[in-house]
Amino acid sequence: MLAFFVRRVIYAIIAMWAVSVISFVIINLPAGDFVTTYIATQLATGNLILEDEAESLREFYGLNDPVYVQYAKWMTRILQGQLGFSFEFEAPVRTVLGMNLLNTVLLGAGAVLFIWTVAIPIGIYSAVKQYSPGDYIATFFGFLGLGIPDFLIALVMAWVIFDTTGFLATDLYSAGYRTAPWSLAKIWDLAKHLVLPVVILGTAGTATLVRITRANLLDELKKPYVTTARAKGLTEWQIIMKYPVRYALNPVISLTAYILPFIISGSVVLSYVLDLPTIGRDFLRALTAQDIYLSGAVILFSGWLTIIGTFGSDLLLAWVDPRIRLEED
Amino acid sequence: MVAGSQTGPQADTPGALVEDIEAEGEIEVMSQRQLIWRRFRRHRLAMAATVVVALFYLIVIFSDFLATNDPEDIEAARQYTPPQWLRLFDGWKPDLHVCKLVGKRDEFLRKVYEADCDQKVDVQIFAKGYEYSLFGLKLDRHLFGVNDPEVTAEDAIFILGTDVQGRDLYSRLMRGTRLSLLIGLTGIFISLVVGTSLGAVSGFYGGFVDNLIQRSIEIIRSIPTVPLYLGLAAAFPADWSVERRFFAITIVVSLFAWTELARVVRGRYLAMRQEDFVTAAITAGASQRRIIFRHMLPSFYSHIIAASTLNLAFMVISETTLSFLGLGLLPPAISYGTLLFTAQNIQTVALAPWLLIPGIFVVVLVLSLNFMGDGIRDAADPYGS
Amino acid sequence: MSEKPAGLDAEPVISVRDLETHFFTDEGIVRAVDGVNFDVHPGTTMGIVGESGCGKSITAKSILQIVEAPGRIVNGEINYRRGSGETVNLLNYESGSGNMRAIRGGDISMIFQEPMTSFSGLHTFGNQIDEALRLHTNLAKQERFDLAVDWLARVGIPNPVQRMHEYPFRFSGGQLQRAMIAMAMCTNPRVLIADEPTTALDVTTQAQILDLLQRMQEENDMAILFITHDLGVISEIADEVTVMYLGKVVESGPVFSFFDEPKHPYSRALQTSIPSMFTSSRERLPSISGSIPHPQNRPSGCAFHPRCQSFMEGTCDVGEPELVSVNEEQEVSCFLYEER
Ligand SMILES: Nc1ncnc2c1ncn2[C@@H]1O[C@H](COP(=O)(O)OP(=O)(O)OP(=O)(O)O)[C@@H](O)[C@H]1O
Ligand SMILES: [Mg+2]
Repeated sequence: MLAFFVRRVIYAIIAMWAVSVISFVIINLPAGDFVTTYIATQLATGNLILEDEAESLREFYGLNDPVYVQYAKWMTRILQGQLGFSFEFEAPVRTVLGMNLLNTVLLGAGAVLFIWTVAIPIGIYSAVKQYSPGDYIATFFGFLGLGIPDFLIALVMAWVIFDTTGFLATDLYSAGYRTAPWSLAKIWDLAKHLVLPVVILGTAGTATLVRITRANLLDELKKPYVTTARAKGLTEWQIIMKYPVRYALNPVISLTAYILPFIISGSVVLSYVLDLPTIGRDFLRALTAQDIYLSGAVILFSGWLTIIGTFGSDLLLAWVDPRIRLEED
Repeated sequence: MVAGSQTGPQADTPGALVEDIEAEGEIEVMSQRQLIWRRFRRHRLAMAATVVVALFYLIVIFSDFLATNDPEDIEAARQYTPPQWLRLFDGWKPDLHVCKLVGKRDEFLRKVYEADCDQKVDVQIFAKGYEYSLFGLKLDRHLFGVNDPEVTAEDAIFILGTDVQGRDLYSRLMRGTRLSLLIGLTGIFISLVVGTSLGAVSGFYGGFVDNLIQRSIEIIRSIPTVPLYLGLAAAFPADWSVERRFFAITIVVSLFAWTELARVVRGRYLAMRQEDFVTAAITAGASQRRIIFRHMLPSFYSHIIAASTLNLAFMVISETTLSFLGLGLLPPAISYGTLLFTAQNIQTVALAPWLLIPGIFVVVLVLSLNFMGDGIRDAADPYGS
Repeated sequence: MSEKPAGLDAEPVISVRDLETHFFTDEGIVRAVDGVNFDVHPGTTMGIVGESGCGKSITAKSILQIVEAPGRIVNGEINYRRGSGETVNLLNYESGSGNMRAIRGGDISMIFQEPMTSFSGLHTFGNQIDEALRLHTNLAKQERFDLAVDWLARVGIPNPVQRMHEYPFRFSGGQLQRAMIAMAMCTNPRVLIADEPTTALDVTTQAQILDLLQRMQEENDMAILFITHDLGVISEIADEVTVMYLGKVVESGPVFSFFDEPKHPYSRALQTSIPSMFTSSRERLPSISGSIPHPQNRPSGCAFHPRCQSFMEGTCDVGEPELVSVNEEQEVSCFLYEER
């Protein structure tokens, strides 16, 4: 177990480092440094920035240093919690992202929870009642969820709701609550607004998970230990819930790590369509404006969030599977 | 293995043995291929999906022939014309036609068009329209349509309606299919080259190299693709030409697609190493290259095809998503993504829901590719690996 | 083997009559068990032998009604004589009914071929054995635990208390098989079905397990239905033998007459295929010529005729022989004996 844990921690750290390098490369990709871009946009709005002012900006952000020094400085600042300044929003990146990071985590966690609570029972049902009408329906919707790009699901669902009820399903807070301090009423309001985005975001993942749960369970139901359990005189339902479901849950947990990147990806697209205050929405605005500190931070955080989530699901897997937990070190 | 027993007596020189083993390998591959094909044919859904995918490729080749109007023709007055569905019958009489659009002035004296089913526009087969080239030939015939269509004319047809600039959605969809699938195909090519070589290297050398490649794949797969794609795409200057952007986006979408392929190739590679005929070929002294190309590669073609088919679906979705967000292909390029870009906000969709029709094409294509890929994989490996 | 056990004269505990279990697959019907008859007497061991795929396991599973879909018992009787003397046909019970479940693991227990995969790797051994006790006894938790520990000790597993809290992957193959025997025995069944319990084990462990089963049988006066394709094992443990071929019984009788005077040509062929001590390990075993046909394209007439040494054209490939008595003890289904 200890060896497993150490291995996973090391792996997570390496992955986080790799993501940081990639993010750094990406924010440095656009031709010319961002100060030049900044000056150009400021000029366009009529603000004049003097050349020595620009030079001091370059100095401040270390743009004259070699690349690796720039990377080291950037990383150090990030680890200290200084994410840089967003030119587009004219505020520190931390302030811009702050609340929205929380919203993103809520949305992602909600989607995972949704996927689990919906996909696992459906998958179990589909496998136990293989080839029943219910199984066919589940399989059909599973494939549909798999084939439709996230933004299309979002667009169509939002449109259908808008068309039938006139309700525009956007944002996560009602107008009155956006800046209000936290209260039960505000949480309730948020929960109500989260339902649709969570359902949309979870649909594709649910489809994948139903398929996997079903396939795994069908495999497990054929294993000899199920026959042993039957020969003991347990009811079919007791058997299924106690043994194969337990087995089938392991891949479900490790699969969560696999679908997490898709959920984060999906949340970016979804936020754009539904105009949700997540880091995804800020991200697109930042990208179009070449606001590098903000977009870099978003790429970095979406990657890190995924890695942390993956690490969590690994630990969960170790906790439920004695074969990993009790592995000889 | 089929031909095991005839070899024995004549095989006194090592050379002869190699030949024999080679012949044997071929028989195995042949029969395996036939077996796969037979299993695949029994998979009805996969067969149907393959037909649908083939239809999409026909659209790629014949997109201009299938189009009814020039996809670039703009007519602001005809913005958001609803679809004039093709009608095959007039009463009981076979007659290809659509309802005529009649121009009126609204209260702001703008010209608006309304369908009037009392008047019909006859649709001709092999109608004369805009010029295009197909296989190097200059042609001006189209599968169906009206002769010499004018967007402004009252007898113009827009079977799937028009967009905000009055352009014919159906003809644009035919063009969009071409570009979206071309991006996918080019991407597949890139991911094939990268994926199979890295997978083979990984499986063949093992050890440190294998470890490095495998860990990199794991890390790449744990990164959410959309933010990364977007970050990369945003780095491309907006003034790049359509072609340049096309290739850049292709590279971006194939950046992740090779990992699955590398994994599959490596896995098959390791499994194959244990198999009898490979061991036999090695013992008989066949060269390494020979072993790889004559014996091992053929036996996992089907796995590569399956992985590539699934990859293609993934790439179509990636391109569509990127372009939809305005960071992939940009107008005037026509692809599924840029077509859906025009349906970005809900009010527009509510006003002109037909703008989502390209989405149906995406879904059908992606699903068909998935079914087909699954079918090939099941046929190649019925017991799962 | 030398002396005839008293139980053979008693009323059978299990009497299988005309059992037919078929698999309804996409490719057609597989008659895995196709009219099987045999009796198991109290306190004795009935051995079922036959080549792989002849339907031994499915017969055993049919008795407990745990055949997996698409398999279904389509015909026959499984008469079980309770301790009270009352006889019931188990097939009158629904597979999922309380009555049937009380028999499974209570009156009739079963142990399986693959000890490694027959336990759930995600539950402790104690958890899995406790389940049997909870279902079939009224004992309190602690009593059940003590009983399970007791049984583990009796089957010869060291440190039984600690073993109760361990997961199966910590056990060796032989230990797992012992543990499975303990799990099957702890409810004091009247019949134990052992489906090739020694096939996956090495020879030494195999002998220990056989000894253990015989001891358990004596201590508990239990009937055993022992399935194997190893005639060596049969000669050691069985009192009676039933030989199966392609889902049918071809011969049955006491074990000594089976070895002394095998009647059916298949039984004879089987016996010449036993390896002797003197054959070197490299040498091929003299297996029966020809291969076992798939149950789906079963040969016409007597299913064994294409491989039979005494094949009689016009008889064996036309009609199906019946299972008939050839003397007081032996029954055989073969045309060589039918004319008389
Ligand atoms: N799930 C199934 N579907 C279809 N046919 C089956 C299934 N299970 C078993 N059979 C058929 O039933 C026949 C008998 O199987 P069974 O397991 O009883 O053989 P066996 O005598 O126990 O062989 P072995 O010695 O290998 O255990 C086999 O030939 C097989 O074709
Ligand atoms: Mg068996």
